[in-house]
Amino acid sequence: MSLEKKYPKEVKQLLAKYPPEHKRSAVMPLLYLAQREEGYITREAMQDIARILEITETEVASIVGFYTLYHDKKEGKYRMQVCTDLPCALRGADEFLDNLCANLGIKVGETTEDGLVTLESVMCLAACDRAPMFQTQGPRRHQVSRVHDRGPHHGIGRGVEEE
Amino acid sequence: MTHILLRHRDIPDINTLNVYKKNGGFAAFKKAVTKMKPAEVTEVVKNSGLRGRGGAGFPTGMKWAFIDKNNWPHYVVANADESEPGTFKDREIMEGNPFQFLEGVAIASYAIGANAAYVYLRGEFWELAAFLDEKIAEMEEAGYLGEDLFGTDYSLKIYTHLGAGAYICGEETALLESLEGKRGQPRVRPPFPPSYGLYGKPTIVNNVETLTNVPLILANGADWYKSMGTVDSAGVKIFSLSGRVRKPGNYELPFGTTFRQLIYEYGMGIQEGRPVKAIMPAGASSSLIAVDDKVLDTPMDYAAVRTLGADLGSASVIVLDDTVSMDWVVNKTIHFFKHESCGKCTTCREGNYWMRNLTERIHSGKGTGADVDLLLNVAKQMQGKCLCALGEFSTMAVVTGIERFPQDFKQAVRSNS
Amino acid sequence: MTKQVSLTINGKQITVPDGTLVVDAAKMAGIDIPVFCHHPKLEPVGMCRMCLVEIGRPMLDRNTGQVVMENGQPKIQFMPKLETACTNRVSEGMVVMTVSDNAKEGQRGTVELLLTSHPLDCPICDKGGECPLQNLTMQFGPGKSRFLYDEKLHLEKQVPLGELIWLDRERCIQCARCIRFQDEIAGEAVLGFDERGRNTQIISLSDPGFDSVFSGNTTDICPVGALTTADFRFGARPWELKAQASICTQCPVGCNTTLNTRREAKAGGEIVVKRVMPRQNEEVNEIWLCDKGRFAYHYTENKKRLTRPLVRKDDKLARASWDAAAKFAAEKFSANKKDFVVLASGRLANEDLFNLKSLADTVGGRAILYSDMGGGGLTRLAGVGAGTNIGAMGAGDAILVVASDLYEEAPIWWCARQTSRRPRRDVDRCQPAPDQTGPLCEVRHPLCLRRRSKNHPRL
Ligand SMILES: Cc1cc2nc3c(=O)[nH]c(=O)nc-3n(C[C@H](O)[C@H](O)[C@H](O)COP(=O)(O)O)c2cc1C
Ligand code: SF4
Ligand code: FES
Ligand code: FES
Repeated sequence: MSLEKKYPKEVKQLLAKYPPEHKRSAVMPLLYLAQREEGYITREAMQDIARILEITETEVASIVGFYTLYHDKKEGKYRMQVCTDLPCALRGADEFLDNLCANLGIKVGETTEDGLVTLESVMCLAACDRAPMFQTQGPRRHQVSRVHDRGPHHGIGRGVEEE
Repeated sequence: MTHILLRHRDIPDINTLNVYKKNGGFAAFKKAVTKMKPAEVTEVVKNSGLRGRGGAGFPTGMKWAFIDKNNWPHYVVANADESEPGTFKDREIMEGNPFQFLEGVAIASYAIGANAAYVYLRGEFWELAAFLDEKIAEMEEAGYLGEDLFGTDYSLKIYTHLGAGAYICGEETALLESLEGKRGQPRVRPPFPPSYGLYGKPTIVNNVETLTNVPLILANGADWYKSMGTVDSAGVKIFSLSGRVRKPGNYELPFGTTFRQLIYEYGMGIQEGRPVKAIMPAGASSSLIAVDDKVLDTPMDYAAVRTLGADLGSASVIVLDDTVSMDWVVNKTIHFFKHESCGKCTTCREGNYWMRNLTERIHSGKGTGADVDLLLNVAKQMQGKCLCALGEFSTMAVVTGIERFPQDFKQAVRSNS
Repeated sequence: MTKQVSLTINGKQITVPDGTLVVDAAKMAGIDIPVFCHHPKLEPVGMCRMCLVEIGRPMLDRNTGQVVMENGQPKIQFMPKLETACTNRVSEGMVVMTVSDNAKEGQRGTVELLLTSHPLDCPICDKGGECPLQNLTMQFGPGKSRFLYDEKLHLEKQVPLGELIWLDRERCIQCARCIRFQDEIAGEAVLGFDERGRNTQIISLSDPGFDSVFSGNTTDICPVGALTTADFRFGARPWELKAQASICTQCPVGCNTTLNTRREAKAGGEIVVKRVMPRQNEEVNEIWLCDKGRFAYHYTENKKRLTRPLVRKDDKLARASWDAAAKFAAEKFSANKKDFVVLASGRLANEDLFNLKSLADTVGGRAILYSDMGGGGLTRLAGVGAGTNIGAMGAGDAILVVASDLYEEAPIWWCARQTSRRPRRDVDRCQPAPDQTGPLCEVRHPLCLRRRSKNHPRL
């Protein structure tokens, strides 16, 4: 089903944020909308968005490619995004990530066998005082979680589902 | 000290409309709209000496006065992209004291005659955007946003817009491109946003912290604000303290507070009581300052920090102790910049790729002295030749790291030299 | 008339129209500033950083606003950094230095950085011999590489973007000329960048790929060998080719072309057309050519095509030499002067039609020339005909298109129509028409106030 059919109300609300002659501005929120269910953006969704905004599919795809929070491939249902940037790394982020890899049995960039978690190492999340920590991204209305600063022994890898 | 920006630390529940109102909330906005001309508002802000908190420190009132009055409509865009490694103040402001920030947006909008304002938040602030949406709805409900405000013909709407993971979108013209639904890549400047901004219309882009200062400046006057801080840098600043300190966090302090006070009084000193080796006062974009007593006793304001061969920027103070080697630091920062380079200009796109190869080689012990020289040379070759400041930022830690901490790099390549 | 301003470039004083870009002003003074992303037909973007120069402007006194003088000359204040000549516009009294040590060091640096990612496979590259990157490397580049060869990024080298255009990802220097052409000139934004930073790459997601009738132009403006046509790929080296001026006869626009030819053993030593390129004519096709004009020439290779004169003798066609055939025709023409009629199709170029008309005139015959392809008498009535400067079309002009689908029937006019709609620096650039027929009529003139509707399908 097309995006407009599935989410008529949301599409309308998002378009209303921007001047009608600049509806292209809605491309980012529409991409999040498209990512809500599967956790990634399908070709069909890109076509829908191109149609709604009267731009080309290539233009939509080049937005998807530019920003790191949009994904065009199916990977783990949840993405654990661990910050390993300088301030966090000064407070043990790299070790935290190593432990996490060991606990989950995967390397950075890989997905657990059950398809639940993909592990990513990301840049500063604007919460450096709470290092080490991570956020999760997944299919749901609020796609990006708040940051979690639980240590590595709190069953991470299990509990994400409820977030 | 009572807070001016982080008021939620003094006043519980100030993030609810009623508590905010009870504490003087929206009085400044009302006063502006009903009793002041837009130019008068700008004048007060100008006189207060408020400078941009997003990094460049540009005088805020002066920026507002630059708005092109022959081209309409105007827009205000709040820069809530907060992506500089080591910066986490805007997050706390918006979470804790959202109405004061939104009131600041509203006053700025009135001052430049904008009827629409956007808050551009980094994608990682998803929950925060939803939270702000609620707060905006409450303000509309209460008659602080919408049509014909306070019985005048002034109307204003505020919208949130989420980015999606791109540090470069903090750069104001890249932010505007992103808001227009394009790839977040910087524009050639000039023209600057006050003449050519969102949708090609005059636009004021201000940082969250900058705008959050505005309601109290309007309420208490320019002189009150100027009475805090230093001659060069008026008022208070939120210092985001991170790295090897015992107590990292946000500290709202007057400009002129020394590094020593910040690190030892507020940050409770260094972990395991070790000495400070270096400071990056403006996040990963900073120059590395080699620390001695003189540095620690330097007051933190825009001018004084410059005397140390660095910029205060967004005042995201990353503290490095003597266990940290600069080749590791530089490798980290270059990883960041290579990842965040937008790819638009050759210098930054190719330069960071090259530097990443070099820092990686040096840090992993496979480098030689010649690699260090080359790294320094490439960084210097990039300086002054990039389309936007990101490319310049990427070279800062490299150049100052190698020049001010040569020993660390010699050590890193010793097995091959 | 636009205001004129005077400036000095490399010590040479010149006067140019206000608003001219420094790079263009330099060109007027005969000074070449090296460029990659800059293209005179595209909006300035300042992204490749090749055109770095030193720019100074007369210093103004802060208080009086007067020019500060020094030794009887205006004091020049140079910008602290090198500036891009392709984005800065001239101003009165400006001083530009394009070959100072500083500027040269900047230009050298940019070439060096570009080459760190470049495969340097010139010997097998179609662009070799006519490649701006190759040329500027010879002129400005470092002679030696400081970048470790093993650390080069390897990317796909043979990517068909569509049926006609191939992309070599390693050679692309991310100047975005192709993307900007498709967006700004063709009005079909079917090319874009994927990813960012060093991973920035060209993509096309249209279906079919690179779905534009103007796609060939991107290979002309690509400053490296990243974009090549399926047609010319590995077909010949540029220096083996002869250039022959010609006119495209595929449609009424009459784009000026260059035929690149060479003799080929494959063709029995005959001269064959290796490629068709646009030839600049600002009044007709500027520097563009549609894909029909560029690629349809292969009909010349048809075996059945007449390439030698044949003369009918006793109801049979027999080969004849050119001289004999011409003589034979001349005899026949003069023998039947009165009944001599020339019938010619509008597919011929104006030049051919003119020659045929002259021929008919000299023998006193009649020429019936179907020269109405672009509207003929009807358009002439409206003042549009031979000699009309299509390139000068712009804001404020009304365009009435009657019973024609420009996109299909005269693509370069469609293109001219779409670019003329684009005021400088306006962000509401016109979007590609939703279907190929598009808005057949620009609703600008009271004559044509009605948009295309069911009842008025063609107006
Ligand atoms: C690479 C880069 C990243 C930036 N990131 C931010 C940011 O995250 N937040 C911010 O407020 N300003 C950021 N800035 C500064 C903005 O371009 C701009 O100067 C600022 O938003 C203006 O607001 P102010 O005058 O209130 O500081 C960044 C600048 C650059 C060059
Ligand atoms: S393909 Fe050619 S024109 Fe396009 S960006 Fe690459 S080098 Fe430039
Ligand atoms: S460095 Fe990890 S949140 Fe800032
Ligand atoms: S030619 Fe590319 S920046 Fe000027």
